[in-house]
Amino acid sequence: MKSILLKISPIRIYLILISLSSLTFLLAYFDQINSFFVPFILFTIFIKGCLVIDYFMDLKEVAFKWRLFPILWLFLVLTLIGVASYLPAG
Amino acid sequence: MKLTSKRELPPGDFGIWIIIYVELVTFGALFLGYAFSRRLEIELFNESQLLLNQQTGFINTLVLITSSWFVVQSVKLIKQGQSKEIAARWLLSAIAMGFIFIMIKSMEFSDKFEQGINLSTNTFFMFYLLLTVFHFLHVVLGIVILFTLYQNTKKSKYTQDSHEGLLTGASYWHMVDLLWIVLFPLVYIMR
Repeated sequence: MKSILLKISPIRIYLILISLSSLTFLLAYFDQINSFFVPFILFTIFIKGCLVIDYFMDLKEVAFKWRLFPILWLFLVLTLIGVASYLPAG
Repeated sequence: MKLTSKRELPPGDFGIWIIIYVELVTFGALFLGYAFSRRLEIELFNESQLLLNQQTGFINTLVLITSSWFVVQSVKLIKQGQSKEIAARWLLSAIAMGFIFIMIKSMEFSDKFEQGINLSTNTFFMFYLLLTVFHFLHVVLGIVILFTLYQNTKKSKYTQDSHEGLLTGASYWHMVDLLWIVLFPLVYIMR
């Protein structure tokens, strides 16, 4: 599994990033953004962010401690954005 | 058996990673400030968000991702010791994408300023301008860095064995991309 992930070519990563971004935009374009889709959108942002961190920034081949910080940052920020979106309106 | 040997340090100059981590924390605080402030004035945020152009924001997303991919291609060629001329062309294409981003964003800002929108219009536009102008300035700096990388690549300053400067600039540019990947859906899309 790990070896398969390491072999994904940059063009495939690029196409995944474009596809996920397009999907999010299309949901907004067809006015489908609601609280039901918020976790889905946050999940796609997490996937895109991890792909940029691992494959574009090339941290997948670096000691885990350096990779941990941006992934943890992404996870925490997106989780808290998710929490904020479900809090009762002030 | 180990599949790959992990490097001890991240690519490029170590200093850039300190800058990248500080930038991530700074933008992270602004993202959370936006998300939690939105709960306090949800109607205002939703109404104000309707004044943003999602199409141009989406085009800019495609532009930045494409630009990042061009930089990846350039780094790959240098790492493999292949044509520096083609690597320089990939960088030039990435710079062109950066300029397209700036052009689209400038038109968006100009449109907002013509409507009389500024930092004190309301909380939504305060965060919108803070986040997007701050990010815009990072793109401008990124283009300057990419141009330096382009010139150095053309002068064959980077080789298969020595290309730390290229990796340093590339890492910064990918950070700019990463920040936009969170910023665009948060400010333009999520309601």
